[in-house]
Amino acid sequence: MEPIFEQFVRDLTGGFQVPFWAPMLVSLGLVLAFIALNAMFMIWLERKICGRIQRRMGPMLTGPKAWARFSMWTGGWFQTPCDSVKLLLKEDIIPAQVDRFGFMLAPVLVFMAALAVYVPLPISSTSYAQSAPIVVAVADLDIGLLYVVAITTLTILAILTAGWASNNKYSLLGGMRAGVQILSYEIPMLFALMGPMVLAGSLSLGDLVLVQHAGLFGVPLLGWFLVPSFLGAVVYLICAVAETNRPPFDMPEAEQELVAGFSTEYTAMRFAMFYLAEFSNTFVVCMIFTAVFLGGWTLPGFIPPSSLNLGFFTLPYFDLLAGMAIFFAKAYAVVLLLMWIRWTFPRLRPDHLMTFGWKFLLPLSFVNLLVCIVLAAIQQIYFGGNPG
Amino acid sequence: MIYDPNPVAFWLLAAMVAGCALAVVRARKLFHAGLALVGTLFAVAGLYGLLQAWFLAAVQVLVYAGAIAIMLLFAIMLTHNMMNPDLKSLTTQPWTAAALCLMLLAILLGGTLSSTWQTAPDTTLSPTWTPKCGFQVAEAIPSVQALGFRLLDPFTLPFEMVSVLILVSLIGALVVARRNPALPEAPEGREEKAP
Amino acid sequence: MMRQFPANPDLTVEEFELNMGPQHPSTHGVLRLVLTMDGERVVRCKPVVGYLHRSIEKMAENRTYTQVIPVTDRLDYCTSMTSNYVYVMAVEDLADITVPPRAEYIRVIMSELNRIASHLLWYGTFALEVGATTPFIYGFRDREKVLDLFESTCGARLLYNYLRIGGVSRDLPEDFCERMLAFLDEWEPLIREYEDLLDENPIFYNRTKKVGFLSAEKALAYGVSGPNLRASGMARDVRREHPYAVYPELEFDVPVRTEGDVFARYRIRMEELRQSARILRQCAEKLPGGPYLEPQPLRMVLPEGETYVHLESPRGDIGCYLVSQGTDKPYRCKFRTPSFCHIAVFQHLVRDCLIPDIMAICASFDVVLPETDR
Repeated sequence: MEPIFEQFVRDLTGGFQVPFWAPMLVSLGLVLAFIALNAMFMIWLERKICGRIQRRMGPMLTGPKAWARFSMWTGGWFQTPCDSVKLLLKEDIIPAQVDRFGFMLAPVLVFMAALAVYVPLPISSTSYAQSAPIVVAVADLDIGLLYVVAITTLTILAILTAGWASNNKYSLLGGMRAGVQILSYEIPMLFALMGPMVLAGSLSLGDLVLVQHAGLFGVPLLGWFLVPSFLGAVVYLICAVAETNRPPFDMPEAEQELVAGFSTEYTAMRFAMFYLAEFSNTFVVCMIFTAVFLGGWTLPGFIPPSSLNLGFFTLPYFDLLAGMAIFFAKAYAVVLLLMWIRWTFPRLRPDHLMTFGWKFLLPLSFVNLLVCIVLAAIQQIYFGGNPG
Repeated sequence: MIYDPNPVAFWLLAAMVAGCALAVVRARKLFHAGLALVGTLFAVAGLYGLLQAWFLAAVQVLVYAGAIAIMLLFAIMLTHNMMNPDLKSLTTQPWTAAALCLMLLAILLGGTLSSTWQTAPDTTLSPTWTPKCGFQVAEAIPSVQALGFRLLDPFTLPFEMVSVLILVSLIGALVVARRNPALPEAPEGREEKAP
Repeated sequence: MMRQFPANPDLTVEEFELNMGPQHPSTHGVLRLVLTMDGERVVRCKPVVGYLHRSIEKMAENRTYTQVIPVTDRLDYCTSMTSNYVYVMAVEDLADITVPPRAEYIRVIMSELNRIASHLLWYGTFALEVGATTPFIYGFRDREKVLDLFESTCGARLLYNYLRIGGVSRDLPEDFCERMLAFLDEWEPLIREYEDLLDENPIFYNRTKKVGFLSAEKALAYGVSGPNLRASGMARDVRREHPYAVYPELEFDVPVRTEGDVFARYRIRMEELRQSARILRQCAEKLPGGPYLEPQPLRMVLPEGETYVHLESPRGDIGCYLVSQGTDKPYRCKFRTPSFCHIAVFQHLVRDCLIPDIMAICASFDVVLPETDR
C-alpha cells in the first residue's frame, strides 16, 4: 500500500512527500468503507439469492420503483441502507444483569478482528512507474496466511466474551459452541492451507498469487492451487464456512435452538457490529480462497498493461484496476457458492460437526499436504526449483 | 540496514503488557482476569511484531492468545457461580508471595543486564545515529524460511524430540480423558436403544 | 443437582435448568419445556402445556349445537376441516342424521385437501427446525394453492367453518374438480422435489436417523396415533379400522415404517401426501350429484344419550365424546386430541439427546399447541 500511495500522491501533486502515518490512515479508511459498503451489498445479494432459490423475489419495495419494475435483480437496492439507518437509530439496551465490561467489549473485539484481518489480503498488483510489479495490499506481510489464521482467534475471544457477559444460558451455550467450533476447525484449515504454502514456499499471500501465475510444471492453469491442492481447497472452504458461523455451520446462533446464540441480548449497533463482522469475515474467507486457490488477481496468460491508452486519455494504473476487477469477480463467485450452500443445507448437529472436523477433514487435509509435498518435490527436481 | 522500532508503539505495547498483567491479578471477576491475560499475550505478540519477528508474533497469538488462553476462558466459563462478584482470589500468604516475586524479578533483571545482546553490527551505524528506543535490531531476513532451515538443519534432533514429547502428552491426555469401558455408564442411560 | 463421573468420583458436574419457551423461535406456539441440561445433553424434559387454553370444551356447553362448529375451528387451526368434521359427525351420530352422498364426498375431499395443507405446513416447519430454510418456503408456497381451493369453496383460508350438521354449508363451485385436478397434476411431481431437498442430504440423514426412537409398545401405551404411530410399525389408521364417510369405497394405502425415528415419521408424511392425492383423484371421479346438505333446524334438540366418534386427522386420531341431555346444547363435549398424547410421550424421547435433537423430535411429532390446550 505505502509505495503505491506515495507514488500516487507524488504523481498527483508533483512531488509531495506524504508523512509516514498517512498511508496507514488512508488504508484504515479504505478498509472501513469497504467493509461497510461491501457488507451492505452482500446482505442485499444474499437476500436476492435466497429469494431466487426459494422462488420469491426478496426485497423489492425500497428504492426507485422504476428499477423494481425492470427485474427482480434491480429492485430493493435501498433495503440494506435503510436497515442500517434503522439499526443506528434503535435503542441500545444493556440489560441490567449483564457484565457491562464484557458486554461492551465483545462487539468491539469482533469488529477489530474483522478489520485487522484485511491487512495482508492482496487485491491486485501494479507495475506502474515501477520496475517490478508491486502487490497491492495494506501490507503484504511475510507471514500473511499465518496472520490471518491467528487473527481469527480474536473472533473466538469476542464471541466467548459475548456469550459469557450476556449472562444468558442461550448466549453461554452459543458462545461455547462457537469457541469449540472455531478452535477445532482452525486446525484442518491450517493444514489445508499448508499445501499451498509448501507449493509456493512462502506464507505471503502476494507470493502465493505470483507463484500460481507462474504455473506448475510449466503449465499456467495447473498453477492455480485449486488443481494440485484440490482436497485442500475443499477442506478450506468447508472450514471457512464453519469459521464464519454461516449455515450449515451456524450452531452458535442457531435460531431454532438457541434463539440467537451469543447475540441474543444484543440490540441496535452492538448487534449490527456482530452482523457486519460476520459478513465481512465471509467475504474475507472468499478473498483468501481466491488468493490461495484461484490465482488471485491473475488470469493465465493475461498480463494487463500498466496503463491503457484510450486515444483521448491514458488510463494510468490499468493493471491495478484490471487485477482488482478479476479478483473481486473471483471472490464473488466464491461468495455465490457459499450462499448457494447456505440456502440448501440443513444445519449440522454440534457432535456431528466435531466428528466431521476431526475425523474427516483433518485426515483429508493431511492427505492433501502429502500430495502437495510430492508435487512440490517434482517441481523442484525436474522444473528448476521452487517457483517462489 | 538498520530497522528502528517506533518508540511510541513500543511504550504503548509495554504499558499494555504491564497494565494487563496487573489486571490479571487485580481483576475481581475471574473472567476479566482471563481477558486481561489475553490482552497481555496480545501485547507481547505486538512487541515481537515491533522487533520484526513476525512468525513469532503470529505463533504467539495463535498458540497462546488463541488456543491456551481460550481453553482457560472455557474452564472459567464452566465454573459455578461465575457471575458472582464476591468471588475473589485468595491471598493467604502475601509475604511469601512477595518474596518469591522479588526473587524472580532479581533473577530476571540480573539476567537481562548481564547478558550481551546480539544487535545489529556497529559498522552499519552512522556516527551521529542514536537509536530512538534504546535498542536497535537488524533488518529481518524472511523469518519463516530462516526458521524452517534452522529447524531442519542444525536443530533437527531437538525439533523431533519436542514433537515426540507433544505426541506423548497427546496420547496421555486421551488415556486420562477416555471413559473407562469397564465402569458402568452414567446413571441415567438411554431408555430404549434404536434397533 | 450434582452428578458424579463414574470414572472419577471426585469430579462432579452440575446440571442446569434451561427454560425453553413459551416464547422461543421453535416451539410452534407456546409450548414450554423445562429442560434439565448437562451441558448440551438433556437429562430431563418436562413439558408445560396450557398457555393456549381457551376452554373450548366449556364454551361448547354454553352454545347450541350449531354454534359450536366455529369454535371447533379453533381446535387445531392447521386443519380446521377435520376438527369441524369430528364434531358434526358426533352430532349426526347422536341425532341419527343421514348425510347426503354428495356431502360425504365433499367432506372427504376437504379432509384430504386439509391433510395436504397440514402436512405441507409440517414439512416446512420441520425442515426449518433442522435448520434448512428453503423447504419452508416450498411447503408454504404449495399450501397456498390448497388454501386457494378452500377460499373458493367456503371463503376462508384458515378457519373454514364449512361443515354443517347434515352436510356442508354450500356446494362446491362449478369448476372445483377441474381446478383441484389441475392442482394435483401440477403439485404431485413437486413431492419429489421436497424429498430431493432433504432425503439424500447426509446432514439431514444424520440428524434424523436413529434420533427420537419410539417403540410400538410405548407408542400404544401413550396413545400415540396417526403418522407417528405408523412410523413405529403399527398400521393403524382410523380411515381403515373404523371407516367413516365414503372411505370404504376408496382405494388407498396406509404407509408404514418400522424404524420409529424422526426420519421414519418424515417419510410417512411424505407418503401420505401421495396417498391423499390418490384419494382426491378418486373422489373427483366418483363425486355424485344431489343435495349437499340435509337442512336441520337452527336450534336443534338432540335426544338424550352419549356417543364417541373419532376420525383420522392429519395429526392422528382425533375423537369427540358428546353427551346430550335432551336440550339444545351439549351437556359435555370432550375432544380427544392427538397432539396432547404426543407431547406426553415426547418428553421421554429427548432424554440423553442434544438440544438440536429436541427440535427435530418435537417437530417430527407435528405437535400443534391449540389442539393440546383446547
